[in-house]
Amino acid sequence: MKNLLKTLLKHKIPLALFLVVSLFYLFFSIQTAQFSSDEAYFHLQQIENINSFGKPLLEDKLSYGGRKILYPPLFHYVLAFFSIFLPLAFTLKFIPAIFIGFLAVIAYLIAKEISGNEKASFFAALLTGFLPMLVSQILNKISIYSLVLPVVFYMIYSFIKIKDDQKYVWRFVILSFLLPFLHPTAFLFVLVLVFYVLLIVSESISISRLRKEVLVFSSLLILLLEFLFYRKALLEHGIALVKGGIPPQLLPYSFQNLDVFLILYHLGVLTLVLGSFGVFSLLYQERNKYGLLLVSVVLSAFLLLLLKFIDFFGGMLFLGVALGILSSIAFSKFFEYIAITKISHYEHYITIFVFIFVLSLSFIPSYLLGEKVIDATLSDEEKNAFIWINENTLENATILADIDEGHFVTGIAKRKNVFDSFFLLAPKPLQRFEDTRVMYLTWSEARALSLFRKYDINYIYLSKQTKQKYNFDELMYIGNKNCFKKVQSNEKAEIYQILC
Amino acid sequence: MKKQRFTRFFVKNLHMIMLFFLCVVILVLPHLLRESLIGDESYFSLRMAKQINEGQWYDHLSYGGRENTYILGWPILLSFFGLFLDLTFVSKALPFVLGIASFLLFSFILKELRIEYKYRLLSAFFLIFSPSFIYVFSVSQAFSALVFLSLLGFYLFLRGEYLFALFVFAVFPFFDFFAGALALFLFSLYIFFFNKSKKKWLWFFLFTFLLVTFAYQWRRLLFFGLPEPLNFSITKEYLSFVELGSTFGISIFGILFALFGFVFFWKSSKKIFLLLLLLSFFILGFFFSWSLFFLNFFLAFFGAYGLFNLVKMKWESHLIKRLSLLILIGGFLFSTIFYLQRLNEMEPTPEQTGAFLFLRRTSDEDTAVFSHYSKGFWINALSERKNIMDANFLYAPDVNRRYNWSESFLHSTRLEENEEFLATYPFLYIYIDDLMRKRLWKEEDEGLLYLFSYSNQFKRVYKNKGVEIWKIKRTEE
Repeated sequence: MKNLLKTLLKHKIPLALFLVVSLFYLFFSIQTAQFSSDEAYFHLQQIENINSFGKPLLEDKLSYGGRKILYPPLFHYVLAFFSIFLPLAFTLKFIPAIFIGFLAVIAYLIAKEISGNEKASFFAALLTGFLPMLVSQILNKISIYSLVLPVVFYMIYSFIKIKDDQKYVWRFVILSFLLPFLHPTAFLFVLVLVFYVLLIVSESISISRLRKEVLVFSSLLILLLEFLFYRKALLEHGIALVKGGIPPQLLPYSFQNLDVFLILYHLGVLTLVLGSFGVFSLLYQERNKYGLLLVSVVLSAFLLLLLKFIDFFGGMLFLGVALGILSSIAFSKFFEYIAITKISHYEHYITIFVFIFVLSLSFIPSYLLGEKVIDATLSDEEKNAFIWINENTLENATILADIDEGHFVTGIAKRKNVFDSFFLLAPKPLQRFEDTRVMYLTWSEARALSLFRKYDINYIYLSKQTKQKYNFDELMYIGNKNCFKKVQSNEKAEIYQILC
Repeated sequence: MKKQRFTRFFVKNLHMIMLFFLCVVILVLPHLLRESLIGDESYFSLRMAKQINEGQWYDHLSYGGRENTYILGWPILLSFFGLFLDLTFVSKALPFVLGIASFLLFSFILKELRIEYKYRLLSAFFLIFSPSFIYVFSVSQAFSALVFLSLLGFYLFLRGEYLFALFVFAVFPFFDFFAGALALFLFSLYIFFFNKSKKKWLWFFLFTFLLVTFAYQWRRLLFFGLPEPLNFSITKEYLSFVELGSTFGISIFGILFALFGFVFFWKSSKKIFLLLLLLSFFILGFFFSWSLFFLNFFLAFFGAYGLFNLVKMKWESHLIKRLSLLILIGGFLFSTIFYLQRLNEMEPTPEQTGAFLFLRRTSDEDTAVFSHYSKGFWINALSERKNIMDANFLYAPDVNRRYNWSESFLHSTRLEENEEFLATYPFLYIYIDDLMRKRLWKEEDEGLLYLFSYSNQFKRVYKNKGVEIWKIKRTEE
């Protein structure tokens, strides 16, 4: 007990970071019984399937009216494993929060390695843990990135520590094996390693033979496993697979153009400014071979975002976390500078000031963003509408819902949808996307009915959100009572049955 | 004494002999896995060879009938063997035999270049497992002969048989002018960098090549003039990886081995020749995908060099070394295995063949069939019916008009818009399949598909899985 306390006290900074960040995420997650994105319900289905049958859903009879699912299963297995000991709903809120807590600790450890300054590392980890992008994309969403990010950055940490301890070699190797089973962005890590090699060669920095070997091995392993796992999808989509099989016309939905304001909004001013300073400093002033690894993450993510080879939010998450960690260089330089000035006597006060400054520019915006995420969560009224569908419609009924609601239809209502946002190997997603627009916006009853027949649609789910998105108050062809009957209505959603 | 010599040879070359048998197995596998020929060009060559044997010159089927202005080297070769054997069998056996011969020639060339046995052995291993090698010697096409002839010409030159080599290079224009030119370019690079004393032979070779080209082409130019320039672009496959769905190409793991090999080789001897060579291939690959068939031999050598040096290199961790090599070799072999499986699934599928044979059985001999130009060779060869268009665009009659009208017909939902097309080309049947649906139309009720669903002018007469044949009602019927 005494030893444990001693260890905890010794690691009080990482522990504090872990607790603060995890509790922050948990605090918001438990405010609602629902999840804050429709994709969460896709993950929920997969996990439930593993719990029931021991394997993820490979043939989804509901999504797109029936399609194949090709998704790395590790994340779902991990959560399914924890749900053996904890109630499923709690697991799905608790475990991702814990993972993000770990990410903050890993960020602290890496920052400490590259800056050598505890204080600077603490602030950098704080910035990383409360990154606005993390909050908007991970909070209460069963996001796969809650596990991908800690794994990728722990691999980077292990790579840095390889020289000190052989056990890190094996950690790196094992995680290289697991990463392709976690997320398709494993290829990003290979790109990071390629960039790293280019940087260290151009800077004439030497790295140990063992590191080189591990680097080659990891890249090859990831390449082989991704090739084996996505073999069929690669043949169908080619290199466009890295875009998740999204048709080019649907790219703006997931792939946005990069502009400074967008980056500022998602990463926060402080992370962007201090992180960029860190990148600049490592590229032009210091010869820090570990720091260059983080710079490689920034460059790879930026390049992929620029070429639209990675979805916007995924790319920004990697970019944000790497910049957050690299901000430790800026903090470190700041404290070093203070130490040689006359105000060095007031270092404690300056530290407190920096702490408040960092909190006000990271914690507070993230807190406000967290509230916004929870507010935008599926409301009880919307959920009730889906539950109504589940209880009052035939099991093989097909429901028309917008792209952001597709997984709610399959996950909560347990009915077939027309389409959803999981495009890989999906049948004609673009056509369905365009047809859905027509079904919501056309004034022609005949046109709408022909499309309803085409997709065997029995019910229309119409939320307030969809009305706002397509900018209409009511479906224009709904007047014919012989064909359309409003069967359910509340403040946020309406359900129409198609009778003819 | 003779027996002793044979035993010595056998023991000395045991590994190479084993690889030879492996090569036989790999090249015979695609034909064991499927009954029909692979690709469309093989069917065109088969039909042409038949026509040559029957003494026909005018092509009655392509584009509804056209002058024979094709480059006929490969069909002539097929037709020659077709005098003694079944032509379909020849279409499978000839590329196979040339593949085996190319494998042997490649090993002999490496030996002539005084490459060590271990590198020769590994190069041969990389060659026979490379998808490009398997493709070029499984599909009946002019490149099977061109690759073989390039190796033969080079080998004869190395052996000092200059006149024979000259003869071999002179045959190139009968198969493909551009591929022949590439082979000569590679040859000239070799002479320029390694064998300057034989420069005069290079001029002989070039002169003969151009002379033969002119002699062979003059008839076309004299009688038919210059071909109509194409106003449309056709989708081509460029330098690509087989893992990413390319019909043929490089394997990712093969190129990784070659990259390692190149780095090791560059470290030991910085040969500007190699850089020039790889750069040329890289540029050519964007214009002529077939340049891969030639690049493949260099990749095989660098792959071998890479593998050997990776094994030889001192590694800090033996386990990581073994695992890395295992992944590389495993990945390379997996690529080949999956590629062999894909060759089996390549067009024409049994469903497609069934549809074309149905047309042959049920339609009149002078019937024309409309489809996308990529199906044209099969309409001619398997159905033995006229097509409206095929992929032989050079000197094709009204090629631009046909293309534009075909595009309009495929994508229009109003039959009246295509009256002129229907009147000019009185085809009775329309062939479509899944690949066409996927490539030509975004929606299931777009263009011609819409007409199929809603117009009574069309009647489906055949359906098997995704393959359909529709009959169009003509007013005179």
